[in-house]
Amino acid sequence: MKKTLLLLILISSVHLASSQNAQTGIIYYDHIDNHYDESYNAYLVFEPTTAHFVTAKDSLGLSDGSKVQNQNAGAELIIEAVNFSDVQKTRKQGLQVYMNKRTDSMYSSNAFSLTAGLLYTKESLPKLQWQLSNDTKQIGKFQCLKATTTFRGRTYTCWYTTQIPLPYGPWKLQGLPGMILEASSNDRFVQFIFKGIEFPVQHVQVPSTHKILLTKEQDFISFTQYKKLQKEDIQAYDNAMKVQGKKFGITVHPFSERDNYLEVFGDQ
Amino acid sequence: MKYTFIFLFISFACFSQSSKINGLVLDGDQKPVSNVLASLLSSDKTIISYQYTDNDGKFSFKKTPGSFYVKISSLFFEDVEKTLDASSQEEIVFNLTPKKENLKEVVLVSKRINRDTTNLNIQNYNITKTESIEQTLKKIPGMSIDNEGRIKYWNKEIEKILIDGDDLADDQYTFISKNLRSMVLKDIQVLKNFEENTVLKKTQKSDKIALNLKVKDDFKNIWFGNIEAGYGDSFDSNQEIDERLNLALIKKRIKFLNAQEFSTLGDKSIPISFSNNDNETYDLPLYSVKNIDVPLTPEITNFNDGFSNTFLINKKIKKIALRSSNFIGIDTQKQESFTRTDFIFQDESQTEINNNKKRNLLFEGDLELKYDGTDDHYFVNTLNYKLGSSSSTSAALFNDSNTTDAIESKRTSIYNNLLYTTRLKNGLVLNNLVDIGYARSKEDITINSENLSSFFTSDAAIYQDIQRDFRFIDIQTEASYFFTRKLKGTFKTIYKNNTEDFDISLPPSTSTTGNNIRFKRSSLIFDSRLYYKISKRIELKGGISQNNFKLDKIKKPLLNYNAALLLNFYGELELSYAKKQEFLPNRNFLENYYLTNNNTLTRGGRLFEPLNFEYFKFRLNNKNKKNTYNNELSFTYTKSKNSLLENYSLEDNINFNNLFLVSRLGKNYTFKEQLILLIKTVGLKFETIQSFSTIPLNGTISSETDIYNSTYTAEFTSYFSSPFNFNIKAEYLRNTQKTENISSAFDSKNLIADFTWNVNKEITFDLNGGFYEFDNNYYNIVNTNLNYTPDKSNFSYGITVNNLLGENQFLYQQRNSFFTSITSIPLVPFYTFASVKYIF
Repeated sequence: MKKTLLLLILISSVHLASSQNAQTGIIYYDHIDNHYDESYNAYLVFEPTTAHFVTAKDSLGLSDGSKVQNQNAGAELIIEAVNFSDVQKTRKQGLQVYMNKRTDSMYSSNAFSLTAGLLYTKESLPKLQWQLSNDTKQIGKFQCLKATTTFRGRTYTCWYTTQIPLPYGPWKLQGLPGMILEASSNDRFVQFIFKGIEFPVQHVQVPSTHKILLTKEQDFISFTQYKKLQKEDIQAYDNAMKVQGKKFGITVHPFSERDNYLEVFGDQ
Repeated sequence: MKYTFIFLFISFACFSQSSKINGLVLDGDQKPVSNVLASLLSSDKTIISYQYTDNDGKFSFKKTPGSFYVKISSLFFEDVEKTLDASSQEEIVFNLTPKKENLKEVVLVSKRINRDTTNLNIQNYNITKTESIEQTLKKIPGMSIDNEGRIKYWNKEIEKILIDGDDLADDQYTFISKNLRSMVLKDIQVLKNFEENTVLKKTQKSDKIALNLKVKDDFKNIWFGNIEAGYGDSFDSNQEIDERLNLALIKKRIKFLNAQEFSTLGDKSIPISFSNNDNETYDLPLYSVKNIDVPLTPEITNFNDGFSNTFLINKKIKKIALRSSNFIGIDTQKQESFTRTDFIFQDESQTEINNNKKRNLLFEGDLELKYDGTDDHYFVNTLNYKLGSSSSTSAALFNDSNTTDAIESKRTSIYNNLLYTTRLKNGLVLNNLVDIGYARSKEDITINSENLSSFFTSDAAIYQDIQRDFRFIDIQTEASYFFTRKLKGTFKTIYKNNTEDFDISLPPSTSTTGNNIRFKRSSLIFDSRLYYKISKRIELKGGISQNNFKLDKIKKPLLNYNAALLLNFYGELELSYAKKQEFLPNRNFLENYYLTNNNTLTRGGRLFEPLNFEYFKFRLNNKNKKNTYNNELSFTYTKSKNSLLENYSLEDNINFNNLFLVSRLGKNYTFKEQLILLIKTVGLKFETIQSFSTIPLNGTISSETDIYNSTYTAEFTSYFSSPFNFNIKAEYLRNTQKTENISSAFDSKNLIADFTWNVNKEITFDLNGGFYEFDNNYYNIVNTNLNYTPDKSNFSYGITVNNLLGENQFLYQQRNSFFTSITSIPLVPFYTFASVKYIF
């Protein structure tokens, strides 16, 4: 009796695991960030109703092949960039976006600068207004169509494929009748380029809850609070430039939100 | 009534029913499937509308004309497509069967190659016929351009602007960006990881960027530039003119730029350059006409007419790039002044009325050869030449005695700098420099002076001929090494060898006048620096430099060291300490008297001891998170064990200046406090600097001067988003000097204000002024400026009115341990100046 029960549990758990994994897929992207002049390896793990996008993570590294340097870099004598204040552009947890279509919510983590701490925001899934076009392009084996949208101050041009009929894409771009394989903002601030896909996939999973994103005793802040913090960050930076101007007697120009933040909220 | 109601109800129900297509999607177990794609297709299968099913597996479309099919597609289930039945109003049910899809794909992202070059695609930005590159760049997202024309891309300033890969203007790129028309370009590229040194490029990631202009093929032979002309008049019929012409030509294998300027407005065309290279002290003349250095703009003091022409050229010859810049400048100066000097230790004073004329000519340039480097070798050779001549005359009245002097001087110098960077087999990068040079200068001075003649017991004019020769060679090697990721060391070895000959004849020769001497110096310097970033908040820097110095037969090892600690806890704290030893320049060692101006005889001595000083600094900077508050407090203490003393004394109306080294302690304490506050749209700065020094006056007797300087400043800046903005600064300076029991003090107050009004996009108006109080004398100098740049025109106009309140005199004071003097100079009174500029 005990044996049968054990066997049953084993079989059902294996079945559960395999059926779970039969529904998970992963897409690899090249995330080119012109603001920090860096490009990261990023991925999007997806399931029928949830998706998880991760980028700028230490363990994934930079997409030109060089991993983040370890404490004692190997045998080869590398004379690195002269500037010691070279800040690391990836983080231990990376920057993440977690989308849940069942609860119509989106959780994301972001930081305003390379040295600032991460902020965890919760918002309802943004409803993007897409303009579909008939232009086509071949990306790998997939036939893709073009769509554009203006989202939070920037216009994005995306290539999606109806051969993967899921409303997901890199970062916060979603809601098309197919998976977005390539996306870029028209002003070249950010670009996502398709590198590969694997479906089904065994070794990764979408986190079961959004709480996985959090690292320490932090909590998710509301989107209104997040916008307020960005506005304060801009004001602080603008003030810092004015102070430098006063110290050295030079005129300064207003700090541009558009040139320094991916989402542009303006004077809301 | 009842029937109407039912009719309305039925028609309403029909209407609502027939306008929507509802659907339900179920899986094999009859459970609803959420988040699958439902699309409404036209007859040729294009998507008219789409939706994803909700948590209940439902979807709903508005019936649109032309919709033929409803299709359900999913990665996890087989696609199902159903033809729309226009008449049916029922909910369409889809039953899905699972699908085993398998996708595996890897795409080689070949388009990532050469991400170091980004094409800006300027054709997308509506380029007009006369638009300059600067105006086009302003339209491109990510580009920002400041008032001086400096260009930044995503907040990083560019190093240069190349034209088809060739460097023409070096870092003076604004000449190209302000004058070249965008219409002649195919595109503008941004070059990242920009490093011209090919060896460094291989081993380091550079964060420098540059712009490259790609010229359209049919414009490869174009002339472009701008021309400006101005004319001004003042009430005393003093006319001023100003003219500028900038010209450029771009060809495939050769490019050149020429900038020519002539102005009577007072700007000096020959720049005063202070080089860090101590080999360039040879360039300073020994004898000079008295220098007038007033803190006012040249247009007000206006005593110079300047002509200059700069010529830049770049030519490629196979693997070598040749770049040359050449400059010729001619300055004609006329300056009058009245000075009264009071000697502190003697009950003597002297008045002097000066009338100086000077004509200065300089022809200088460099020729740079750059070899197309490889990963392991890179070299650049620069040849510099300078040919200058100046002639000046001055007429002075000392008390009642007339003096005139005339100076003719010529100088020639040529030097070569070779930079060679190489990468060794083990990966170490060595930077090597070799400098070789030769300079010769000649000064012929004729002085007619009653005072000097009686000193030299001669009735004739006094002649002084100075001839100097200077030859040098410097060899340097430098390498950087990373011990760990946080600890970096830099090591430098420098060998210097130079010879300087002085031949000063001052007849009639006595035992105390005339110098004919040679100085030979050599140094072997070992310099090492460490930089340790202990943690995010702690940084430590230090350096030590050992110089095995030899002057003629005297050997003196000179040791310099410094250390600095930077802590970032409650604010930024910096503690630093430095000890320096250095030898004076050779001219201080001339043992016999020579004339340094028309009534001063100077001599030095065998001052063969190094100057020795120690320096300690403490600095604390606090700011708040919003950056609306920033406070800096700093304290420095300098101690000199050996200092150079210039001892002035007046005898028979002649100044005697004896130089000697005092081996007694000199001290200086400086305290600075600066507070900056940003309150809404206004910025405030309050600053005070207090400095207290004790300077020894004599080598043997215990005699010192105490000097106490204090400055108080308050500044108010507006950051309004309106077109009107201003900046006001108030300053109070006080200087007190006390020697033995004699003390003197003076203070001055200034108020400097600047108002700007950007009337609209094309017109700007500026009013600036300074109100100065000195010794109960008040000076008010106000200028205004109006600029009009019409949007679509090649012309721009400006009109300036200077010295609105007609101030005709300005006073300034000089002082040291031995004398105080007050000089007054005449100013150009009220005048108007108009200028026109045309870009072609």
